Amino acid sequence: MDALTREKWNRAARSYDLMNGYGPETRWEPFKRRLFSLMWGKVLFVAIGTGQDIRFFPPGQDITGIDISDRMLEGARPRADAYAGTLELRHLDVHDLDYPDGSFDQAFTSCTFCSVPDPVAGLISIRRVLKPGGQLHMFEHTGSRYFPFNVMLNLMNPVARRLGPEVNRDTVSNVARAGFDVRAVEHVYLDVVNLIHAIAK
Amino acid sequence: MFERRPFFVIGDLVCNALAGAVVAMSVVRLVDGGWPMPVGMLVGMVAGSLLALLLAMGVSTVLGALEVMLPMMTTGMVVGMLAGMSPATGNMTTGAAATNGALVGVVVLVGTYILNAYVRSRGDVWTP
Repeated sequence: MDALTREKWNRAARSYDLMNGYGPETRWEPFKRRLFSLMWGKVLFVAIGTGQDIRFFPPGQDITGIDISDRMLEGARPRADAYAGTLELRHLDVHDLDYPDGSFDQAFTSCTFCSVPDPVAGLISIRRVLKPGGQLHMFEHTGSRYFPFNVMLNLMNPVARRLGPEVNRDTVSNVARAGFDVRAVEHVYLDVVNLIHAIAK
Repeated sequence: MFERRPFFVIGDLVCNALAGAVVAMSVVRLVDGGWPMPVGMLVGMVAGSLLALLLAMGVSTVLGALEVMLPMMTTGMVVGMLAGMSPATGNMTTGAAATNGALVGVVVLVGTYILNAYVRSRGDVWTP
């Protein structure tokens, strides 16, 4: 497990709910609810954090939520216990998933691949544990191709990555490079916040 | 395609107008009339973007993350640039700078809303 990344997110866990509280979650709620309504079968949720997204999960699903930060998972525990379905939490790094090949029907992420140190390796790891034809559904913020937003995000990135996420990643390309067939990219805000839908080849 | 929830629309408007006003007032005080105009514009643009980013971080927990940060930083950049060139072209009172900054902030926000609607309309739609 990547100790540096774990410690970074353990530190962030203290203020995570406050920083990502009402504003971002309320803005994104309709899009997240629609994304998570696609859940079926055995679901892997990568980087569940403090479980802020659990309230948007449809009831009755069979979900495994993982996170690299044990402090984040402590915050997620009460929310997972209150979920009306099966929700198992595990302390795992996406780079080192210990599940057999083809264990899951679907994988979901939510503002995850802005922070995974090696995003392509992490996505390859997810592809391995998905069944062939398994679905990857992501809610991710990325870089932009529009001026001046691309310049701003590039300039902000060196500071942002020290505190938490990177803000200029090309996650859609990373998904394709990891061996997924990208089927759709829905824009939530400009081309910076996106829903990415892909199929494991 | 547009944000329609009143809390966020009004919040976006107020924050961008406020950011424009604060940046304009700060930059006209910061930039000296004796500076070459390009230097004033550059300093104003950088200072305005940074100041707007700080303001955006202050309201992001209530109003959203990138939806607040990107328009406010653009407002800071544009207003900072305009306010940075104003001392070289003549004196502007702080009150006039604030009013102009607030107006530019609203224009930037409207532009961002229109661009957002355009970009979203060109996105894909997932059909399972």
